[in-house]
Amino acid sequence: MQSALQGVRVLDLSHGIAGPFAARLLGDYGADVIKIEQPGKGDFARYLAPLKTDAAASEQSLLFQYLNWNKRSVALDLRLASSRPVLRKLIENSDIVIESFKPGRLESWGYSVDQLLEWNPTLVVTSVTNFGQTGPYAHYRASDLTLQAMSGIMAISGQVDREPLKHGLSQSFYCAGLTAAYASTMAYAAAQADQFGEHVDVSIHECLASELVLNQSYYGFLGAVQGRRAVVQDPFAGEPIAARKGFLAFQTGGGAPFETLADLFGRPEFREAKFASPPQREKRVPEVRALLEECVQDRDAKEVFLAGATKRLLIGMVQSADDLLNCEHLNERQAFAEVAHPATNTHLQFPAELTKLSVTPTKVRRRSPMLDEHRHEILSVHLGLNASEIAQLDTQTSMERPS
Amino acid sequence: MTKAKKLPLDGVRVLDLSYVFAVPYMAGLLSDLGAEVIKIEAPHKLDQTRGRAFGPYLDNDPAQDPWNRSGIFYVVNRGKRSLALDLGQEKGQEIFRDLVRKSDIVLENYTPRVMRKWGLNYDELKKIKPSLIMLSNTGYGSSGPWSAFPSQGTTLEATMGVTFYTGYEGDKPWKVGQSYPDFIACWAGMNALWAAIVHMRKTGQGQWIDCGMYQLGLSLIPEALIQKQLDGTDRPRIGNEDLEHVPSNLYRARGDDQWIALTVDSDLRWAKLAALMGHAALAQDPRYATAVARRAHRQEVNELVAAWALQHTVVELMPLLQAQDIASGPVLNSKDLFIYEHLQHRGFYERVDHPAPIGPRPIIGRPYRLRFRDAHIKKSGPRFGEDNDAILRDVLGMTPEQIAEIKANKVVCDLPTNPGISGTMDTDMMLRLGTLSAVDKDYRSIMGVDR
Repeated sequence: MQSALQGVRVLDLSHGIAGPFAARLLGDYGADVIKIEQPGKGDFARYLAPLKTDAAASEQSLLFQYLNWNKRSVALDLRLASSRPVLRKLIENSDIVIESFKPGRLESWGYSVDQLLEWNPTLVVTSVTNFGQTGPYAHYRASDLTLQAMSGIMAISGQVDREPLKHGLSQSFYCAGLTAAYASTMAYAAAQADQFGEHVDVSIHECLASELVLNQSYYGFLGAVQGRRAVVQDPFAGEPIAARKGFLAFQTGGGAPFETLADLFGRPEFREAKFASPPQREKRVPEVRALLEECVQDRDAKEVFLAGATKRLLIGMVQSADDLLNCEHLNERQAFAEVAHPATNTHLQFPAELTKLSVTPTKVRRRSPMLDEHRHEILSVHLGLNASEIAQLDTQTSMERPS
Repeated sequence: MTKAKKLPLDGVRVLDLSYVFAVPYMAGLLSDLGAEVIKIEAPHKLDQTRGRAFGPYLDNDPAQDPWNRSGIFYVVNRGKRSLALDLGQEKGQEIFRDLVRKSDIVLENYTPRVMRKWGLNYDELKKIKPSLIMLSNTGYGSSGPWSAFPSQGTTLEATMGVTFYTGYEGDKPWKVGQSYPDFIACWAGMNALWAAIVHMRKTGQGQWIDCGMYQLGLSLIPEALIQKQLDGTDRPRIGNEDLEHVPSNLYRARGDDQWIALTVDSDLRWAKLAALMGHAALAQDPRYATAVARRAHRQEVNELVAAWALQHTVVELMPLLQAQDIASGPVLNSKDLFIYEHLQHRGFYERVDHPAPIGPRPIIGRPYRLRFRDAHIKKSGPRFGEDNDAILRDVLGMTPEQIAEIKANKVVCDLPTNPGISGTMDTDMMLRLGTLSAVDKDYRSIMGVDR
């Protein structure tokens, strides 16, 4: 079956998580992705944990493997003049370029967006940076933590008498990768339609700030500044509640009326008028909470989750990596793909599919590349350089390289 | 170069049957990118974002038409037209099929059985329009043993794995932010839609997108999934800290509930921070000089930085730290964001006029700028059923008599038939609990929309 982006050529000049994740998603839809890496060291994500420490230094990162399958790798030092004709050829042979250098960095090497568009007028250039290409903070440094802090998400998270709290792991960069990927495809579709290229300027900070649609409305429509969560929280606002084994998350407002909880737990109290509506429950939060905690303290989270779902109650359960890797539903949906890698001698289960498209499936066609693995294939087969041209490039590169 | 004239979805019509956040937001963004989006609303079941569940009502006053006064609705439904159509009636289904013939994309988030019950599932609709692209967003996807389970963002955040790895050190798992899975679904759905659009433009062939929100969570926690398989361990919950970089944490700054976030990711930057703190010698101190040493002395490092940060305001700290190339920034709240100079400079919020009594408001735009194409919020979100007549007349070519008849039969309604409970936020109680930190009476002038 044909992939949706089959024939689309992507040049991945980016590094870290967000840009490479975006380029990989396009690869999953069938695009041919060439990754350009710094000679010697490669993408810094090659050193991000989790690491398989018995592999070669640049091949240890299992996270890199997740972010870079469906790509081929060539090492090319963009700072060197000898790289210029090669990069130009690559640009001329690409539809989408994804980059994540600091604003102005590519331009300082002679690769402004204007220059790239002169070489290829229908090209889409997607830049993924912390705060975007413009504005007073364009050059500011950031981390997942500082981005979450500045996005507004932390101001509404955590307990009111404790410090604000971030989402775990590195959420900012995955959010930005998802956005940069669709924005690139969108701009590509537009460029194909009118034969006019585009520069997409993605701000990771704004990707997160885009999540505040509800909370900023509190201010925008009534001047209310939302704070963190109450010391004793409404137990139906998703705060994990401890079961005998595991934690549950409850929410009201689904298909089932509130009193369904009385059936689920065999507790008629949930039918009482004093709990019937949200405003009434808001007045006695500690009481409702204590009742709910009592109901689940002798039950396992998963058992309550499954029983609640059949009664159409909105109940979630806190699941760990282990739970997810062994989930009967995810297995049935084939949400994981096993990807083997010779450099680490691993064959791990990776999440490999976001959504199911009925005609054009997503697919892991090749494992992530080792650094510079496809040098010959790309320079000679893809770009048509002959042996002496490649030898000349190698000589110039070694002469120019700052020692 | 000048701007290209065409937006990517010029001439494209989208039918949006969806509720709450994820899919309505997708459709709102498609409108910004040029599509004509018709939001089809059930007369007897209001979008929860039009009502009390998600409010807030303008100035906390439901007035006579609460469904036209909800802030969140106007943010995610910007640019759309509204048709209040009863798909439970055969005539409603017929009208919908007529609209599908004249449309390109259908978006919906009913549970899997509902569209089948109405005969409006993809297999039926593609008979009418082979190039149709349809996206169905559900909690668990259309297949698998949990596919019929009900869900919403809040409960899914726990089930999908993010919550397990979120929380204060030594504490239980925590939910963070607001309906996080909805935004993940919005962006993942946009990826699928654009891939399908590219395929359709190349081949003329439409397709159906099955978006199950639960499995999207996996893509956000690869570190944990890999670690578990690598050595059987779980990534720990460590609050705002980083496993590798120390310090990387939130510190209280001078003032009321002010916090600065900073991350030191090299020994050189630690030396710079030490100098800023007036303790240059800490850069050579064997307890702190290297990343490994700082990891072994997390608590002492945090105490040193905390003592220093508390003496300064966030306004002082951020430029000081950034001048030393140290990642840093304050915790911003929803009011700060509206008036923050960087976002203002970037034009992140777009000023959108809304019908009286709301007036102009800054509305969240898109997290990217296009240099050559003028993506923008076209107009405010619609009032309930606002475009009923215009759509029936202009898109479907109905006569005034036909329109009067289907309204008489309540197939199309100008008012919701079952608006449910409206109510206000108890702002006094929320201020007491601290779940609101302020209520500004002069918020309009603070946001600059009082003129």
